[in-house]
Amino acid sequence: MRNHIVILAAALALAITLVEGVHSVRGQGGSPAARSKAQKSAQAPDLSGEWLPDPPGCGWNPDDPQCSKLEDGTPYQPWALQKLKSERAGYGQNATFEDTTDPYMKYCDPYVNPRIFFNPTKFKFIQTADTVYILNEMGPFWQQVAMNRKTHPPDTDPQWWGDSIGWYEGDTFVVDMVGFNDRTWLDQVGRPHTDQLHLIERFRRVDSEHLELNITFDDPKAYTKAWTGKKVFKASHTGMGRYMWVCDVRANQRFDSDFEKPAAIPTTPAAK
Amino acid sequence: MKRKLQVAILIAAGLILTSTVAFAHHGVAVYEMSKATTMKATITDFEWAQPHCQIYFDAPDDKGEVRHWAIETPPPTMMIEKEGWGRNALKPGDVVTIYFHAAKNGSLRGLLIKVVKADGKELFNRP
Repeated sequence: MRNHIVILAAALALAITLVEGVHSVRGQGGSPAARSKAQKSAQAPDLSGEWLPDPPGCGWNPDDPQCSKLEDGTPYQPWALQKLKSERAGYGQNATFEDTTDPYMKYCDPYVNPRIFFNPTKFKFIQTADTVYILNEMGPFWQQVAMNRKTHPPDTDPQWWGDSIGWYEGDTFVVDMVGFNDRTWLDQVGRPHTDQLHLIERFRRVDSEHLELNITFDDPKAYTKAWTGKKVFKASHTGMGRYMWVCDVRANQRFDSDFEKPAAIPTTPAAK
Repeated sequence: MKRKLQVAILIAAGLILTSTVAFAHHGVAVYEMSKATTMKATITDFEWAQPHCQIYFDAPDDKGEVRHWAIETPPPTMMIEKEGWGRNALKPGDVVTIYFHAAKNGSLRGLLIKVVKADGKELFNRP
């Protein structure tokens, strides 16, 4: 019995050492002095609460809440605009449910940051000294933002959620993300990105009931220059986790196919 | 004249509601958002699920033939933010008046504006 306890303790110590080691190795490299100074002096702002996009919206341009214009000043590379125009999305000027190309609707591909902020589900921050966790009802997914390192790994593997580091600047929580794959959309109409995407998200609590997100997209392979967007969330008081959103590709397909088949609407409720 | 005024008010109400309606994975372009359709209906099923809640109901068309409609609402995550909604808000057999935006493509689909139950209670698709 005593041997088991000793082995367990040793394993735990090893695990902690490995985790710390990974953080310290990845944390090496040029750390911007200004960021470091700001980080040291900043108190963690209060981001507590459960945040809901209401309305969920469809794009990052606050001047076009219905996503009525694809060419709205976004600095597309030519191929990116062409790809956007070819998409068959449920939003925007060419909205359709037929033969969608939306990777979420068609395949239940992960609905990741930043597109996740358009889904009508809640998220919350768990703030610790080393890490800020962003928990989402959608997925359900969780994002881990490292607060104890100042750089990304030098050669990140492209992943759905990329790699996130963060820091505080006054009342703002800044999340810096790289290392994405190129399989997701930035919004609900299908603005594309590549594996060179660099996201900077700035969350600020405007008042007790509202959270503001200002976002910068920098992806030189898809856009000629960096561009920005904005979104506001409201505090929800109905309880987080009551309806976790697990993608059901059959439900998605049934909804779309039923919609496109007027003559096939049954005279009895659809089978569940 | 009175009828025209009623129609105008209904359309205006629909347009106002449009700006506050919340959606999940698609927009509203597939619906006639400038028009509100009203029907006396009998609920046949209420599906409280993602990505949309669905209200199934029977209602007679202009010729008196009963047609089966399916009207969507936002998902439960959004509906619980609104007053009066839950998985038991509507039950098969309920006789209601239902207001919705019909699909542009002619399918018997729509987007809910509000339901008025037999006891006069109103359930809105807005905050």
